[in-house]
Amino acid sequence: MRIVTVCGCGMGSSLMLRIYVEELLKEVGVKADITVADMMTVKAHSGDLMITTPDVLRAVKDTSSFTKVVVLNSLVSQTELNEKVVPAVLELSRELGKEG
Amino acid sequence: MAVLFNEDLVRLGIPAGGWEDAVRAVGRLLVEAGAVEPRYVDGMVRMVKEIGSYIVVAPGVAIPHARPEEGAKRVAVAVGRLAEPVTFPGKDDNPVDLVIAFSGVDNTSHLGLIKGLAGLMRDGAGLRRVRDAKDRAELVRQLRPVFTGMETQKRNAADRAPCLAGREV
Repeated sequence: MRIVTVCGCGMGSSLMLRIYVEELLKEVGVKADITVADMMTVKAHSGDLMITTPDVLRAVKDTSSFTKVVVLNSLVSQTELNEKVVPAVLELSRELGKEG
Repeated sequence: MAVLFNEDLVRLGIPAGGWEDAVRAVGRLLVEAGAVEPRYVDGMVRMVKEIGSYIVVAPGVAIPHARPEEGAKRVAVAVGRLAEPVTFPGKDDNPVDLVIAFSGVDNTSHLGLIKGLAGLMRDGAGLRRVRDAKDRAELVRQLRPVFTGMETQKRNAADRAPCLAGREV
């Protein structure tokens, strides 16, 4: 599974987000490559899941190269991460499993 | 590259009239320490104006930063405690009293610093200690291990011994 975490300049919150998501995936037992991008470089990326915040999503606009997009209001909330990222990741991993 | 963080990069009781004042005041510490050029601070402000307040990452905490090519000279972090909280655009429900500005020179050399920050942002007790520190020296003593990665090592060790972990939400 390919996941891209996106923030305004790819230096701060997207890296923090990658750290949080890595921890979470370890707990859930799902393997994924997690890449960091900013709102410009994300245009060159594609993947199964994009994770970002509402204001960055507005700046990115086009998310068509991702199967799923998860938007987090709070980067640091373990609850929100659990509620939004875990179902998305589990669903994607089921779909990817079917494909092959 | 070692993270630059010392008492010169801490300011307490900053009188800020608004979010931009606050970001510039803490950014100035990075400039005065020789970590960034003055235009880097403009870059930090521009990120908020152009994209939004996503840098307000935890309750009461903002982490302004910009791209390395906007005049970053070394990996550094500055901490400012505001005399009165300020609100960032669209974040009226989360007044900020702690501003942690940082600079990185490429996409990866500040990763240790970000790991420390990621841990701190979820560490309610740690943030409380930062808010309660009585002077700059005490604040540096608390945060230096966090920003230089020693705290992460300690936490990893605690994770290996689950009974000692005592996670906070």
